[in-house]
Amino acid sequence: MSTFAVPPGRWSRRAFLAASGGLSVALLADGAIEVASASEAPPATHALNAWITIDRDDIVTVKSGSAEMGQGVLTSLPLIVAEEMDADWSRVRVEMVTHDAKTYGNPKIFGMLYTAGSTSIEAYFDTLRRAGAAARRVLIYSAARHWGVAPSQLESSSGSIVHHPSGRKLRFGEIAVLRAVSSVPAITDADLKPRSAYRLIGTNVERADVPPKTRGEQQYTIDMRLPGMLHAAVLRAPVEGEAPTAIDAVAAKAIPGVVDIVRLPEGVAIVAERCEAALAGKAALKVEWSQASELRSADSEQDLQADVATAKDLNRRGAAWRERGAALAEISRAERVVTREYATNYVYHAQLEPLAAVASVGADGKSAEIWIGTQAPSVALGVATQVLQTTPEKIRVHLLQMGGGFGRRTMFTRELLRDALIVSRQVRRPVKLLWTREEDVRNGWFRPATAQLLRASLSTDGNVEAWHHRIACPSVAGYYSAENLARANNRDLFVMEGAELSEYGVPHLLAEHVITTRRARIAAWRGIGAGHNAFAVEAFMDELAAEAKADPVEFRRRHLAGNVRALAVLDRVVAMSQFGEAPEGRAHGLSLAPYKASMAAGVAEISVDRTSGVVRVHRFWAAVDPGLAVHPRNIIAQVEGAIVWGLSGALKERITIKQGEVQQSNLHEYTFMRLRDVPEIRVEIVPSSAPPSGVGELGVPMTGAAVANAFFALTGKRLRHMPFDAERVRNALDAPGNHQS
Amino acid sequence: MLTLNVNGSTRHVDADGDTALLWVLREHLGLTGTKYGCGIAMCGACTVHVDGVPKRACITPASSVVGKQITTIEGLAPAGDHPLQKAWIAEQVPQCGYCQSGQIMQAAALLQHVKQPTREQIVRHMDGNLCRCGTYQGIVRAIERAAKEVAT
Amino acid sequence: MSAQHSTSAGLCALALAACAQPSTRHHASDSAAIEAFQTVHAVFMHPRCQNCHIAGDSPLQFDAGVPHAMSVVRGPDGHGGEGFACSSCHGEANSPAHMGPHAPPGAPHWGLPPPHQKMAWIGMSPRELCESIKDPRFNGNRHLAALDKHVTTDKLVLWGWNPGGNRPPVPIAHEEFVAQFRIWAAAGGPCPTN
Repeated sequence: MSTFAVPPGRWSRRAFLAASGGLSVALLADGAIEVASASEAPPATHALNAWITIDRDDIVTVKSGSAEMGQGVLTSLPLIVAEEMDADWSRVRVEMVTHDAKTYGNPKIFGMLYTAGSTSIEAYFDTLRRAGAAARRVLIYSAARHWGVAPSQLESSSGSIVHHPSGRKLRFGEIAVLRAVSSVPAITDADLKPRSAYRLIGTNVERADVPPKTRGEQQYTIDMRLPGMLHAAVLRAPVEGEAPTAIDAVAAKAIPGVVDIVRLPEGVAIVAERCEAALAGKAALKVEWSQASELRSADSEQDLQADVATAKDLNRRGAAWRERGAALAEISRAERVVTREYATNYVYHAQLEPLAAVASVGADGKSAEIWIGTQAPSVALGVATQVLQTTPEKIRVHLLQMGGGFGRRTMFTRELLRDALIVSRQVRRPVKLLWTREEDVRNGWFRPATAQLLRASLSTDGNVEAWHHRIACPSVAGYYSAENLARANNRDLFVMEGAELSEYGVPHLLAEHVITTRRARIAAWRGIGAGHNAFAVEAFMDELAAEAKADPVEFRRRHLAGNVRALAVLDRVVAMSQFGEAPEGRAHGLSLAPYKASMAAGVAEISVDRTSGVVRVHRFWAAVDPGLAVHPRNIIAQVEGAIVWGLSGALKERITIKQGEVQQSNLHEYTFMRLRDVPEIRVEIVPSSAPPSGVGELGVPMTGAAVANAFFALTGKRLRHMPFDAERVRNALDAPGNHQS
Repeated sequence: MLTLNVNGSTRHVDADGDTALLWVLREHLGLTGTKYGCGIAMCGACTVHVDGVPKRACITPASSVVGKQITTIEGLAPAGDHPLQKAWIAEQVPQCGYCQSGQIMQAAALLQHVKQPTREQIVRHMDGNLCRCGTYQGIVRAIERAAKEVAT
Repeated sequence: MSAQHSTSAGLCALALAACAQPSTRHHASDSAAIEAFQTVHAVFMHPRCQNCHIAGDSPLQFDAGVPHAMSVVRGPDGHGGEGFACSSCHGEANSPAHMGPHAPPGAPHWGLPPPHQKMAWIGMSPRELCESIKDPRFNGNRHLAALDKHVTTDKLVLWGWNPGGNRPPVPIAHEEFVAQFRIWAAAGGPCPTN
């Protein structure tokens, strides 16, 4: 993770320094030994270690360093703990942590409390199974002392410790109120269960958050109601970098219930006793803006064309993301070079819960309680301490589940929370600050548009010898912090992930990022860089196969020599889909697209209405290898959902900007996939001996190229610009040939 | 002051008549299961029933539903055990869950009118409810399951 | 330019009609009536009107006349599918201004013509429209007097001149439209030839 640009210093230095070192060993040593300090009086609950507490009623509560945004992490993380400690799953509860990044931070994201990039399972698996094993050991040793027997004579069994020779048995809750042992041996790899012994991991336990979500009982930030709470709606500047210069609030203030108008750095808050009054006040407010932003000249179409020119300008070298061999030299002297251009547009998250934050600033102006659903509690804490010029212990964070995250609620809830704090401090009451859907669309942080140039040399026997992938677009990491991007040698994971070509054995490779000027707020979007890069890579592989007069499956297979996991998902999806045998009027397209350590391949079956230019995806198959499948049903659900997400982005989603203003304002203009357009999706998990890895985004990267490649199979024409909207499809159908350059 | 019938109870609400029913339910009455997603009837997260017909509460002035029977997700089944809710759990449909109240309310209106809907009827009826997590396949499966269980 | 063209076409129609059947109508009034019908045609072809006067079962929306999102259908009585009515989103009146310009429009009995009487005129030429709207099999058994009532008092029709939000209303004033409609109707509803 050394390439992950560190966002600006919004969290405590202590947490950051701690996070740079290894966390898990120290944590476990602490956890296992500190239990010895239990008092003489039986405690109501018993902290076995930092991650696990047990109460006298046998409830095992597991701390989750990850936040829930629908990805199922509040089931899969405690499942790991329950497995190793042999807990009774029906007695296991989970609690999202809000503080103490030193203990609970995500080792894949700088030790911060930060849920992103499909990292949770990979990041916490080892820590949690060791925590579970340590907890089990403490329970065994405590029971052994209580009974005066050797620990080796005891076994655990679904929430109990059993002494078989005597038939004695103690439930976890009964042990929890005993005086704990002073020390237990440290947990080693040998103490962890072999996979063959798993009885919870790999099963389809039900998610605890599902029943409340069917009854409207799940609480999100937007649902928070506090005594005395005011509501704030925000009118934000139409163009980034502008501020209010004149505010005419006469009409807004005349609305009954409007109590205050608060000027914010990039907008104006209308504060009211009731939500509807705040919204009506917002509608009645007249604001003049500074109109001085240099982004007034931003034009998404022109800016992309400029990036296309940059991508093609080979004299302009980029920051190398992956490099092996001598790709440029090989290509320059190769006889047969294939060159293609691809592009993608801005896309918006459209998480269904609009952004909201609740803040209650103390009378001293230096302390606060905040309620927020965020992927980045560490960032929220940092924002609060900075805005109030205070210290972290003065901030109480209540973390709520998110109505969708997808990258929208990471670093990007900063302004939202900042503004809630500013307003609450001014009005001296708790405030729920809401961005309407319109504010969220117009102030969205989009996946950047990209211009991509791909070049490859082919040997006489049709193998790729050298590969050159140039991605021209602004730096997302640099937007967070130019300093940190520089420190990372301009290596920007948000833009470049997915361009590694790690699956294919191409001898010479250069993937580079030509960093262009930022012209909009940009961010990670479900799939991160792989969303746009895997589209270009796998569409290009398909074009190379055609150039080499090879079958797309065979062409990929021969470049996957020795990559067992990639071959397995490829072969599986080919079999599942009966690849190439689509019904009349339809065709199949293949895409092999890993995401971080997880492997995946997909096949789209499409048809095209040649008059309207509408592409319809009828069926989609995916084979995935996420390593150890911790919670299979949820993995399949995540991949299904991500395929819908990816297809929606590939077919229709697009943000446009003119004169610095986002042209879309709500979901009638920014449309995403509805039920009617959802194909029949089949997902299979391919058995794997690899460690568990992420699945939340795994379905996204495969989608764009699978559709584009199916389009070629059907029409002989190529789609190289996502989204494949009707106009682009018609243009492609009318194009004379498929060859560029 | 408005007088509304919500989930079988008479409720008095101190709100203007042109206040969206959504905010009356959520903020005045605390029935937060009905969600705000877009405010323009494009997403369906705010779907409630008015006299048994699905209605987007975000664009429905409260005055227009005076004297009518309003049902929210909280009132769909007293114990939260409507056949659709049970089917939703059996199929483990929700991910983030934010759209699901609206999905279930929309689906409930279908099953009231069409006991055994075809797949095509389900798709058409549910096409106004967006799910950004992409749980659509699960939603269709759950409606089919509920319809089957009601029939047997 | 188009007005001139229409006028000459109208004169042609008049001449033909006069040859085909004896008429007591004054030539000039028929000519004026046919010209008046051009206004009627322009109104009927406006997106505010024609988006729901469609041949199939799926209405259109917005000025561009794109297929209505959400798989909306005409349904058994023109008010949407079973269990999912037009009124789910379209109220009795346009939404209050504070709900913003993109809230769905509303008017009483929002809907499409019923399936047995679709009155689908989208894309029709003036002649086709004229013949159709006079045909009781087409227009829901409305004779011209009933049609007059429909276009002058029906609140859903009147909505076209007060569509709310940022929607452009029918660009011809309603009084002007009614006046032109009555000129045409008073003349017996003569039809142009094009």
